[in-house]
Amino acid sequence: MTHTLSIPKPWQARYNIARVLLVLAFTFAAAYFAFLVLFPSQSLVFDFKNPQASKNTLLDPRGADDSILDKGNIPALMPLLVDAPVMRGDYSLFHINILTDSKFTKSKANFTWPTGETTLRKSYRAFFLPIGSPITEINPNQTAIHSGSLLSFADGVFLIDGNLVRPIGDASIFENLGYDWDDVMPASEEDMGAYEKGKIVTLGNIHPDGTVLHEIDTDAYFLIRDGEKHPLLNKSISQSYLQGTHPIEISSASSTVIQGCILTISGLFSKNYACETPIDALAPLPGDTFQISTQLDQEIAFQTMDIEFTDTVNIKNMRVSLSTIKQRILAHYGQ
Amino acid sequence: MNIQRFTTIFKQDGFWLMLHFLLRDALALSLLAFAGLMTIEGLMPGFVSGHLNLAKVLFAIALLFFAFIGIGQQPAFAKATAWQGKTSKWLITGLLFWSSLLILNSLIKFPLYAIVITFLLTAVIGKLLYDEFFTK
Repeated sequence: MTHTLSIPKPWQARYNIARVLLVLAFTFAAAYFAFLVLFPSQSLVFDFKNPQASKNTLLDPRGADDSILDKGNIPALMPLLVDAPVMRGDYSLFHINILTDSKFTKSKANFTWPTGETTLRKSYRAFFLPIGSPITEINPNQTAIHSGSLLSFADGVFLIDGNLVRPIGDASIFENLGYDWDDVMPASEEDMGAYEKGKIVTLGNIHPDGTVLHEIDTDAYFLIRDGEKHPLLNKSISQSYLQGTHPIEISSASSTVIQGCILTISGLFSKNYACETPIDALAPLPGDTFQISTQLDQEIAFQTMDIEFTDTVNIKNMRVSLSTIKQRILAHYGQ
Repeated sequence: MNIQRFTTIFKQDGFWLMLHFLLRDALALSLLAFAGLMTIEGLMPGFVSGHLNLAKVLFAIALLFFAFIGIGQQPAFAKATAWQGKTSKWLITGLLFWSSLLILNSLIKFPLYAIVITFLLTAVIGKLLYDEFFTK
């Protein structure tokens, strides 16, 4: 006599209800995944108590005077600048949440919470370098391979950065940095051997010395050298530094188009500053990095800074996401 | 009184049988979802793994599987015989077809001879493993 498994009658109704709930849970999970895909977001964070932690995705917290502020102690009226590298430049919404250091606030007698705001600009990190002295002479060193050159070797693409040769993480990082595939030169083992191996180029890396930037709205050219943007005074000088390659295209509007919001304070035990602003006006600007500036009117200490870029839920953004998916599939199959 | 009523539920065979069948349904849905995610990942490498940690998904499925096996040790299942049914031919055919498409998709940028050799080797190894573990 065989015994097969079956649910006793008193439990069958409960099983049917539980089964429906299970299917609903999976349907909800699928819908949530579809929502994440169609309206992607990107979160970045900096922990001022662990400035060297690898999980810190916000880069280079500093004062407007280039002082290092990675411990979170922010002087009064000093703008705190951080760089937020993003995979996509066309997010609709920006949200910031800053957790303050309660030990600092408790240590100050008669402490009152400061007020302030956060603003954003968008471009490449190299765009925000200070302006240096103009270059008035033709490039004296017109070798084919120089700092700023792109090389292909084996299966990878490499960037020459001073005396280092650095592999570029992947194709999307290459394109996000504004490089052109036509500028990649094949390199020999001898060419590669002339340079030391450097760290991998990731999202938000500053373009190296020797990179030429071209402001598309003013037709001005700049050369990156020694941490500064040096204007190239005329076309022949620019062409001597470009040597037939394409410049990185930037826009002067990245200096003037700013979005921001007033920080509001909340929280019961730990106080945090937060605000949210639409950033659609920044979407058309070229660049892979948002420079975020936070300024408060009194001295304060921060513990963590969390930033999220999201898309507004609407048909237009959904169509953009679907188009991106289609392009991705076509790119994978070589079209 | 309520706690006593609550604990007597665990002593009823019906509860464990219901849980067993629910876990079976959850496993089936999870494996179907995982198959869908792997297919999307095959079409767009990095797309799913960029949004979800697939290792965590696999871990959750493994937990469900072990719970399913564990529940089967309950006294409610003592009288049940070993399963003597046959796996649906349609299910096996479907699985083989889907697996073949995924393998071919992952080889799409290889030269033709490499695709043929790899596919044939995979089929031979699969057949040998099947004969070793599923037939007597």
